[in-house]
Amino acid sequence: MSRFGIDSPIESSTLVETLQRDGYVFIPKWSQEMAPAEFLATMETHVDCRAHTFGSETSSIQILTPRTAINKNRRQYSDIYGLGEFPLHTDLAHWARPPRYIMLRCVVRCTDVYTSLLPASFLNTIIDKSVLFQAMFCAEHSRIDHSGSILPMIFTENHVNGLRWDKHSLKPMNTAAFAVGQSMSITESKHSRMSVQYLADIGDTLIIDNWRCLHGRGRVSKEGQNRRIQRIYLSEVKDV
Amino acid sequence: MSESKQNHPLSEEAFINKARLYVSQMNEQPADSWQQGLWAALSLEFLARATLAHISPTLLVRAQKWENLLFALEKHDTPVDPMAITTGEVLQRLNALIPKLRGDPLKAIRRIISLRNSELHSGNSAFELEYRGQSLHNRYYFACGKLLESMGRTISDIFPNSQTIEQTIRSVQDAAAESVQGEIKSFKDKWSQKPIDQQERLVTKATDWALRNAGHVVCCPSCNSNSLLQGDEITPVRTEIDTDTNEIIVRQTMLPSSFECIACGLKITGYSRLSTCNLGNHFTKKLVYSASEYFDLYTAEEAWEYIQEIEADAAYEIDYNE
Repeated sequence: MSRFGIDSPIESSTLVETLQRDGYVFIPKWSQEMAPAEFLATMETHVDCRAHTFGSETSSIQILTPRTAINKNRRQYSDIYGLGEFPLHTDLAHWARPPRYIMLRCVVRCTDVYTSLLPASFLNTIIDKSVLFQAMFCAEHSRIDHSGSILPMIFTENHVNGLRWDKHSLKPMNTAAFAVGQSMSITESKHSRMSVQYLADIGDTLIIDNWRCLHGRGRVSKEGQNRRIQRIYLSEVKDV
Repeated sequence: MSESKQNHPLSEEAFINKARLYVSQMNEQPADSWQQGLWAALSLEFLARATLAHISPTLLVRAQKWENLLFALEKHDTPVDPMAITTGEVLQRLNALIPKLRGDPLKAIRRIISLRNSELHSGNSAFELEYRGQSLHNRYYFACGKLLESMGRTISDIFPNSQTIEQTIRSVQDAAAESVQGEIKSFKDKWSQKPIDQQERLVTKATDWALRNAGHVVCCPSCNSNSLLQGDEITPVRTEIDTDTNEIIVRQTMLPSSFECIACGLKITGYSRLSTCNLGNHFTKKLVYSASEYFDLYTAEEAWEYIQEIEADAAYEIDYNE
């Protein structure tokens, strides 16, 4: 039995190392037979998965379902892009400290919708470090609870550097932040350094370091509208 | 890990983030300008408040009204105006609570804050008059360093290019730098003993050598000839487009690192030694590019032709003397 999960196909040490190296890790067909709640209960014995209910906004397990854009004034990506491609971003980038890890797990299979991934370390190669350090944002006005807070692009928690980026929820506050926005647009248009990962089979699981890896979603085809992905925020992934 | 939705407005981190924003604004201003001075003073004020918040945010509000204390303790659900204390009171409390800040650090902070008050509350441009030269730069970075230190932080928490700023801070207390005055006097004595015609030849040679594209042109403290300062980048680049000439202008503020005069032979290295003899003023490095050059729009063949053209007429050169 794996140290990480009941039938996890990879060892936990490999998982943690891969997360540190790449910013994400893919685990194929992990605990396929388990229902979401049962899976989460299993996870709690293997990773630090503290209750991330985040007030009334979200539950600890969310089911992500593709849908058409209904109201473009709302703030979720599906409201803006519908079934189109989602740009690279950090989840909950407008928080003072966004959640550290995101787990995405396939519950209804879909073979042609990908998750795009870009390690934050790549940004160091295209944007001057001092510009990244100086880039400051505030939450967009639509985020009423968060407006007014100054949010640095690079933040530090317990000697770990994190990076945030979301062109919709963050408003640039200085020249460096505008420069980062321009560089990100160019980076996304080139797609050259982006990895893609398909959650094509039930149980396929992607754990993303939300502080060190940006992610997005590919365009959803007609067949892909049945796609169902579980999303769980994790505070820590560690050996047990 | 501690995920959190929002920093409290009176928290240490909220003030630190705001100081970082204001430092970035400071770094975008021309070296030694009044705008740079004002942003520096405002960022310093936020650092002073962050230092009190590090002990407790309750120290930042007026205690006469109990709702203020509740707000600082994050116990008040409805937003209220927290009625913060004045900067003068912040400095008084820092003086009482943090012994390490007494003396030079608080003296430096008070000096800069008094300039800020004069700038904001009078018709004078206080920083245009006084934020000139290294002494205020030094005081600013020295004060920031001490405040950050008292929060268990370092200069790299606020400033990019922290190594060069640490040099500035060291120079404030670097007594060894004083020895440079003796070296200057020695070179001055030797210069005065040279025949006048030799001095004139050397001055002409130095004038031809000390060009704007070779370094920052300054007057030698020993023989008054044109001489050159070299430096290290202290701020990120500032890029502007001149729409009249279609040129891209890239500027960067430099911290002096070495000085050379070929007339009398005086050489000085190290920021602390340079600042002791009034050669520590920041200067600006300016590069002018054509649009095609900046965006690398040429093919290899075109680029080769272009390079040959550049070498032929040397139209665009570095300028260290803005």
